[in-house]
Formats: sequence, C-alpha cells, structure tokens
Amino acid sequence: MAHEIILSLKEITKTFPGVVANDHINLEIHKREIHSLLGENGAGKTTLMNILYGLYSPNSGEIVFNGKNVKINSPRDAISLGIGMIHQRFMLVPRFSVFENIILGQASEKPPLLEKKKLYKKIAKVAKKFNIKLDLDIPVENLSVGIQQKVEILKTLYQGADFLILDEPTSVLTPQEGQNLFKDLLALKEQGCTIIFISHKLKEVMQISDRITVLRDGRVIGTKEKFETNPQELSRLMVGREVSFTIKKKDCNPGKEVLSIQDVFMQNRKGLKILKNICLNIRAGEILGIAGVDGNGQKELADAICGLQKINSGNVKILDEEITESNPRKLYEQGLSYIPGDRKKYGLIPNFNIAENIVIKDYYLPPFTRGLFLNSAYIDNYSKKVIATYDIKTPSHLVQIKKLSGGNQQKVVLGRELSKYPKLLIIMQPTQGLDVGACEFVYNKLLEARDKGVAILLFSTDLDETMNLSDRIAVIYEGEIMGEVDPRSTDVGEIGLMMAGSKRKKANAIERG
Amino acid sequence: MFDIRSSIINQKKYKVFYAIIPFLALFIALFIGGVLIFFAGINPWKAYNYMLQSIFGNIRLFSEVFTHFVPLVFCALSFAVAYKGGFFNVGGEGQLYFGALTATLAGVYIQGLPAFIHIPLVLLTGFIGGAFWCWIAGILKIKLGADEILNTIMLSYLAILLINFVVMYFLKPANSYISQSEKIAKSAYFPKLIPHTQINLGVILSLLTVIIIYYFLYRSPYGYQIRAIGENSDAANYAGMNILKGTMTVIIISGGLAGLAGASMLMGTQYRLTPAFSPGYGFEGIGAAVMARNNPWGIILTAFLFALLRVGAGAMQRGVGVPLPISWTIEGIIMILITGSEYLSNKFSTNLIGGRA
Repeated sequence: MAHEIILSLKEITKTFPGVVANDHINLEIHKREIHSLLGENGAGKTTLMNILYGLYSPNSGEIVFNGKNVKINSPRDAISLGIGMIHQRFMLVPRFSVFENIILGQASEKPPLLEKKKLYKKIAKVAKKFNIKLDLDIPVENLSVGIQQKVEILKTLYQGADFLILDEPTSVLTPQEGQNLFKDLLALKEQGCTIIFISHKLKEVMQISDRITVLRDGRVIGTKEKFETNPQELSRLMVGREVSFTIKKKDCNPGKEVLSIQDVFMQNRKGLKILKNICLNIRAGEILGIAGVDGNGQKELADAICGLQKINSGNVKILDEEITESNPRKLYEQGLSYIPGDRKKYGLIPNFNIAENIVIKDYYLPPFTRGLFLNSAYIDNYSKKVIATYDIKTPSHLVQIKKLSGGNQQKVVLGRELSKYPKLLIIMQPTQGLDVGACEFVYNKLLEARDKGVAILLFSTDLDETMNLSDRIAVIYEGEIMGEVDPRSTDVGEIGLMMAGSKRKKANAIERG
Repeated sequence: MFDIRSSIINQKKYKVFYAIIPFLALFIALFIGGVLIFFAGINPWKAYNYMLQSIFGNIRLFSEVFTHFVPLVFCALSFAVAYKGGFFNVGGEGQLYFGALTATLAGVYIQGLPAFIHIPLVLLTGFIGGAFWCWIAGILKIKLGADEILNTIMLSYLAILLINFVVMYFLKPANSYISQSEKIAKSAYFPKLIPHTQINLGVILSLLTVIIIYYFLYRSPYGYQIRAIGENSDAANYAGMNILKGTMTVIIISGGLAGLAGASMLMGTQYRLTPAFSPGYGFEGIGAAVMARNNPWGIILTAFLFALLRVGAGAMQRGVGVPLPISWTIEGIIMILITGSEYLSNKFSTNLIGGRA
C-alpha cells in the first residue's frame, strides 16, 4: 500500500566547528507511522531533530513538510506547522499546576485577559480525544516523571501538533513507565499522529517502531521496516561492526568485606528524608550494582560514603575502619575512589589540560609535588602513561579536557582513579553519553579492576548495564533499599517493580555472606 | 571522519589570534580615541606625537610613568589572583586605601627602626590592612552567600570615606589646617633607584611580586588548587580540596596585594595619607588585569601601557589641550573590545579533538 509522505528531509547538512553533525541526510517519514531514529550518542539524531524543530538552522538542504518546502527558523515556526518536540529534560515549571504548565507561553485569544475556564475545557477536550488521563489541577512537582512526560505530550498536542518528536523519552523512566508510554504512543498513532522516536536502545526501537532509520557519524546508514530486520542487524548498522551483547565475565571471587554501611539516615535542609535505613556491604572483588530511577538518593548515598555530605545517623566503615566523620581527601588516601555521575561538573575541570586533570587528586603529594613546587616533569610522564594505558585519543597531554569527546573524557577519569589501585571504587553512570565502543572499554576496565580485587559500588540508571556488570543488585527507591537480588536469577520485570517502589519479600532475599 | 591534524593547526591559529587580540584592541581604541580628538578640534596625529615625545623625551615625565606603574601592577595582580580563584574582587580601590591607612600607622607611629626592618614592617602592615578589608567581603560571601561584586565595591566607598574621617579627626597634626597625616618616618621611605626621579624600590618590588605570583599560581600545588577551585569548585570539592580554605587564601592574598599598592604609594611617592590618596588605581588595575587576561607577565605590559596613557593624557592636555576624559574613553574601549573578543574566541574554540572514542 502506498504511504503518504508527510515529511522529507533532503540533503540536510549541519556542521559545528570541527565536526560534521549531519552529513547530507535524506529521510522520509510516512504519515501516521512511528519512525525511530537509532544511533549512538553523537550520531547526529538530536541535531537533526533540533533542525526540524527550528532550534538549529542547517548549512544546506531542504525540508518538505506536507508537500510544501518549508523554512523552520524557530520552535514557533515548527509548532505552527504542527511539529512538536518532547525533550529529554522536561521544560515544566514545578510549582505550576498541570493546567498552568500547558497554557504557559500560549498567546491568549483575548489579551490581556486569560479565559481560564474556556482554556480548561479546551485542554480537557484534547485530553479526551487522545485518551490521556490527567488531573489538571495538581502541581507538576507532585507528579512522577512518567506522568510529567504525559503533561509534556498533552501540552504539545494542545498546541496543535500532530507530528511528535520524542528525544530519548525512556531514559528517565522505569521499565513499567516505559511500557505505559508505548501504549500511549500507539494510541496517539491511532488518532492520526506521526511520531519520531529517538533512541539508542535496540529493544525499545524493535518494540515500538514501524520503520527504523539508523544514523552513524552524522550519516543515514539505512532505513528498515521493522519486520525485515532484527537487533543484530541494527546494532551492526549502528556501530559499524559486530557487537557482542554479552559481557564476558569471570566468576566472582569475593574476598573480605571492604565497605559496610549500616542504618544510614540522611535528611536534607527541608527535613525531608533522603536516605532511609540504608544497609549495604561490599567485598573485595565484587560489583554491587544499585539500580533505581535517577534521583532516588543515589547521588546522596555515594556522596555520603565519600564524605561529601553529612549523614544524620548510622555508620560507614571501610575495611573495618569507621569513616563516618572523615573527609574526601583522607578517604582517597585510604584507597577510596569516586567517579561521580556528571563528569563535566564533578569529575573534571573542563578548562584544565589532561595532565592537570589527571593529577587533580594527587597534585599535593610527592612525587607530584617536590618541595614548594609541582614536579611538572613527573606529572607529564605520569599523565602520558595514563593516556597510553587507557587509550585516550589526543594529540598531546596538554590539550584542554573540554576538547575531548565524552568517551575520552571518561577514559581520563577512569585512568586517573584506577591507576591508583583503589580498594573501593564508587562509580556513577559509568557510560552516560558514551558510544558503544567506549562503553565496552569502560566495562572491560571495570571488570578487570574487579578481578584484581577492587570492590566496586556501581550506580547506574541503565538497568541493562547494571544487570550485566553486577554480581549483586540492590534496588533503591526514594532513599530506601527495596531489596537485594541476584542478577542471574532475576528478571527485569521484578527489578522494575522494585524500582517503582514495591518491596521484595524477605523470604526471597538471597542469602548473603 | 574528523581529522586530528587540522584541529591542531586550528589550535595554533587560535592561539596566535588569542595573543593578538589585546594589541588589536589597543590600536582600535587609539584609532577611535583619535577620531574623538579630531572632533575636539585637534589634529590627532599631532596629539599622539606630542604625547610620545613628551614622555620619552623627558626623564621627569618618563619617571612619572613608574609612579602609576607600581600601584597598577599590584592592583592588577590583586584582581587577577582573585579571579583565578573564582572570587570577583572589584574592590581593590578600598583595599588599597585601607592598606595605606594601616601602613601609615606603622610608618608614622613606629619610629627609630633601621630601614631594612621598617620597610618590610610597613609593607606587611599594608598587606594586612588590604587583606582585612577584602576578608570582610569574603566572610560575608562565605557565611551569608552575599555577592562579592556588590560587597567589594560597596566596601570600597566605605573605606574611602572612613579614611577621610580618620585623617581629618585623628591623623591630622593638631596645628595643621590641611587634612593630611604626618609624613611617615624617613626609615620607611623607599630608596630611589635613580636619584631625583620617581623610580624607586617599588618598581623592583612590583616586578618581584609578579614573578612570585606567577610561580605561586602556575607552579605550586597551592596555586594549582586555587585555580582548580576558581575553574570548577564542584570538581575541586569532589577531588578532596578544601574549598573554604582555598577561597579564604585567595581573598587574603588578593586584598593584601591591593594593600601593598597603597603601601608602595605611601612609601614611594606620597609619604603621607590624604583623603584623595588614590586616583582610582584599584579600578584601573582591574582593566589592566582584564587586558592581560589575568596573566602575571601580561600585567607588566598592560600596567605599563595604562601608566603611559595616564601620563600621556596629562601631557596631551597641558600641551595640545586634549580633554582628559578622552584617555579614559580609550581605556574603556580597550576593555569592551577585549571582553567582547573573549566571547568570540570561546565560540571559535569549541571543536573536539580525537573524534569519537
């Protein structure tokens, strides 16, 4: 059956200084289909969609929408064409109600008056048409992330969009919320919407799409009907070579207990409980994964262990030594390495060069410092060694770290921490923003460290990653450990339920020690 | 695919471009200044010519350049150190005044010391005075989160008025009608390097301080820590650095350097404290630091340039009648051009190296 083409992009090229983000991209989207853009980070998916949404203007190329050649210079242009975009980070005002958020930025029909009742009815009508059930009066801050996403979608629909772009929509959701989103998307499609779904997760793409376009290095590698293709083929297209999905992992040989956390409570300034009754332990040579949706106390727990945030009660021991009152520098000297989540914010100093970033924790210790001054000869040699060992691609060790790609930046951080042979490594979001090649590298280095006897506490919101790497998994929800499971004998669904707040029954808990 | 070589070439080009900008800014500013001089009814070529000739043809005027140079170097270093440590100290003027006050006290009321003890002692009290005045702004920021830009600038006015008051009611000799302190002891005078000129020990001290600050900032672990805190205090915190201590050190050094500016003026040229002690070196020092992009070596150049402009503007006014504000305009234009170029060069330099890992 012939498909009506709603959008075609012709020879779209977009360059940033030094990088070709989109290289002569041709893409056709059919009306009423769910079309996935699949590709690694940096493949150019988001750039392309930002062009379509009017946030970037392309260097060359044409956009034909509904048979007409269009120029989209701003999101306003895009919305007037019926193109709406739901970003990775929601653009909602937390204190405002759902209703207020939806009408935000909309011109009133009778300025300066705001006809609230009329608008309210209008929104309710749109919600009913697309079968979206939402309470319009609740402040957005009281809603779960999944529901907030619904608000974003309703807002876009209310603005008259029937062509939706969703940028990595599932990255903030639990598996169950993800499934709910897919149901909603299918319903929208039934109602006549066209959807572009951006993702780098094969499973999702195979589940939801009608057709799939793979991008790599800013180019279209191919467009496939879902029924003609399979995950293996897609991953090959995406990465450019065969990828093994399973991580080769030796058996875990845990040694003595390295970290023990007992009854840790933490409150924030407002008196809200951030961590409740946390009890965990890790032994040398094992990886304990903490699964959970972002923002459930992971960062606070990691910070507390590393002495960056104070806990209200409970205690933390490393190798039987009480460290509850310690500070980050002392802990580092004792063999605790911490790789925080947001590496550009917490892990690196973007304007410093690679060498300066490599010595950020050791600079004051001999031989990095000799007498009154830094020992630059030693620092240079040391950082060159790290660069070679961790395969960091750079012309020199004196290049500013901000000029490296995310993968290379993460290698610098990993090299810095692991070169010191820590006893305990705490790592958050080890592969966020990295492409498949860099991910493999990071995984191998982590497993290598584990096999050498490093105790690793892994925080990741990527459940697949946590499942693959960890020897044990504890699930955190609203600052509370919901239970501990063995990744080999537990399915994703069960962990997903725990991530959404259901406690594991005591009887099922695996025996420890 | 992305080519690593081309990015290195770009980097080199970028570095040359980056180094040229201050000179470019200077020439554009001089050009615009020339246009303004033209509209004032004076031949700009003649005016600039007169300026250079009078400065470099007259040892007295030339030595006057150093009167301005010394406090400008100290004030520019004061701003630069603070800036590198993430503290925006725009109150150098007030710290200069307060440092001059404490130095005056040590210079006037301590008598009978040999020069080699008295000079360092007065310098030290000047340092402490400036540091104390900056510390107030620092503690307000650290304890209460008050914005240091407002605090330091407000404290500047406070210092100037306070010194007026102190001079008028306490330091003025009882039998005098002029509001000024007594002269400091001869033992606290900077020795002249060249007799009968204004070129004194202060010049050597200021250059020495440049060297010390450079080595401190870029070669010592403590300087490394301060720069790390200034660039990204979150990452510095996660790396185990003590942010409070680091910031406090920066504040003390920065304020102290401005205090040294005051002390060096007192000991080198003024010898007594007066209500209008500084003609705004504290503010002009910020300009010199910005133009040097807070690089200590660059500050030698820019402080000298600003001192030249100051003396030259005076000469142009006396000699060919160019209004004084035109030289301020020139300095202002340099600042605007340099801050603007910072934005542009940041835009040019955002390319990645090494492609995808």
